[in-house]
Amino acid sequence: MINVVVEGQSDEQMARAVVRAAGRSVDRLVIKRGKNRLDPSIRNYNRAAQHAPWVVFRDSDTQCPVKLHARLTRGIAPISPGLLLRIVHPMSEGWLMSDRRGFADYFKVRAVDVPLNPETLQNAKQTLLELCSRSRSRAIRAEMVTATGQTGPLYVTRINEFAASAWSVETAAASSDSLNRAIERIRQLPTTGR
Amino acid sequence: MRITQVTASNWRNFKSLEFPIRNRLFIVGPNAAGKSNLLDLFRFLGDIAAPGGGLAFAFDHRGGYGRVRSLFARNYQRGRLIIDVRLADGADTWRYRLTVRGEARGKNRPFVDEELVEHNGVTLLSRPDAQDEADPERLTQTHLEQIAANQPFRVVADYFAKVRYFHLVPQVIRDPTRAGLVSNDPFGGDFIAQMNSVQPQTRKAWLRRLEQALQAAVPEFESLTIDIDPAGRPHLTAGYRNWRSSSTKQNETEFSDGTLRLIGLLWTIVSTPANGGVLLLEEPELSLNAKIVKTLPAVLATAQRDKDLQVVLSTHAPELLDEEGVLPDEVLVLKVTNDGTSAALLSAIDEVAGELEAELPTSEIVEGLIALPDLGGLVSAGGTARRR
Repeated sequence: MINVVVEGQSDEQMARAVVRAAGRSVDRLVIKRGKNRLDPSIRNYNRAAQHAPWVVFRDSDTQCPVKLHARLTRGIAPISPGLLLRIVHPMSEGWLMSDRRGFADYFKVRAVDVPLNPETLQNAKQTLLELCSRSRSRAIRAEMVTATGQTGPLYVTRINEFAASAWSVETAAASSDSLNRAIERIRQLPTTGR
Repeated sequence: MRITQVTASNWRNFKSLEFPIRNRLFIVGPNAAGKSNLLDLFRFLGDIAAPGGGLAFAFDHRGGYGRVRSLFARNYQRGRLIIDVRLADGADTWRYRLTVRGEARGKNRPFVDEELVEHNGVTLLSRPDAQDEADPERLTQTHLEQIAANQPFRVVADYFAKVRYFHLVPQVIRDPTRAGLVSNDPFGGDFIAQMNSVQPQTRKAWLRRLEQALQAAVPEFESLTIDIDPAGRPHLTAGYRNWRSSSTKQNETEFSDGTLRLIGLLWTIVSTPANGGVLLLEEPELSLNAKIVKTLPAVLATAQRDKDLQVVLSTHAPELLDEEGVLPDEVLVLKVTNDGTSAALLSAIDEVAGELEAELPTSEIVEGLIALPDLGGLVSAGGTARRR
């Protein structure tokens, strides 16, 4: 059993699917409501990880993942073997779009329009919203994006539904290096914290 | 005097309950887990011990013995409802134990099956006694409720009688047709009348304290008074600052829900008797903004500082739990199981020991324990059948 921390509500099912793909199951899942709340508590999760494994998913938001990881763990020593801070590069929306076929089918968009390499996107969420605004489904368009191009009213629900039911983590991992490595590292986590 | 330990069997949706209690207890759990039922356990003791109360009253008030006794009772503890409370008064310890059974036939009236009082380990009362055997009708009453019989343990009866319950509903306070219908209405039907009935000097002092608190919490708030209308009904009047030289006056029908709830909560705290008692609060965070909710634990702690006051409250508010002064042994977590609801202090739950040690936010730890797995069905409630 693994405990999971994510930044926002829309990350929940993505995180669950990734842990499942690594052959592990989720015990507790904490939604931090923003990185401002998440970042300062990483040291607490590190302490909790002495008792049980904790995975923290944090979006890189196009920052260099290596530098970001170093900054977030500065002053935290030793890092417990039960703690895994995974930088989602550039953000979870990118991981979701990495399964191009599944994404296109669920959101009723053209597969060729889904970016080939989401890791290079400057703003993956913006790209996702633009894609959905051109969806063939009127429901998807209305629920995912507002008329002015902002996050739609059922964005969270839809993203979670996609991640839980239609997203192929394996396919996505084949084209997203950061996702692939995340799965690998979760697989290697100890079963207890120590 | 204070309650130190509560043990119960077959109380409403709890098959068994056992928890120590300090000066404060924060009850958390998912909806319908039994938070209010647990508060009601204290009210039940209060209803037995209070003037005009009694065992029969306490059950009637709740729709009869069958409603109060847990569904599990048939196969557990021979169907008895058991409440066992330990109290401490300085170095003195007290124990009050009450077991109730339903009448075998007829109206299923509640009967005392066992009533026990111990003081420093010495038994003061143990029923049924010879008189009860001779006249079983005596068992329809507890000795707790009888002044003639509870003299040796009057302090315990008095403490139970001081249980107060607060769940003010702004709409009820505002509704003039409710005034005077019920006295001591916990939902606020006679709230303003109660405020008005306080001796004028004291009332003025208490209103002044409320005024100061509200000035800090409510923007542009200036003053709070009680005014009597031509029909003789008391009303709350608040003055708000505006661009004119004189303040705008509003009465309770125009107050916001939050302002009314806050006035109710503050009045309850300010008017707590100096000799304390048990104060029960049902979700005190309702209608209040997060910043005020965050300060509630401190507000309560301040009220407790000079008084022998125990506060038991139910809450859904993370802000309340995350106040640093709220300790894991003050949080009682309710979990629904297929064997009734279970209750355990957060500090006694092994699976979160690591998280507590890591000082993760209390609300987060609690959330992990009580979270419902999937609310998708709830989200789709508003959809049409076709889209679901």
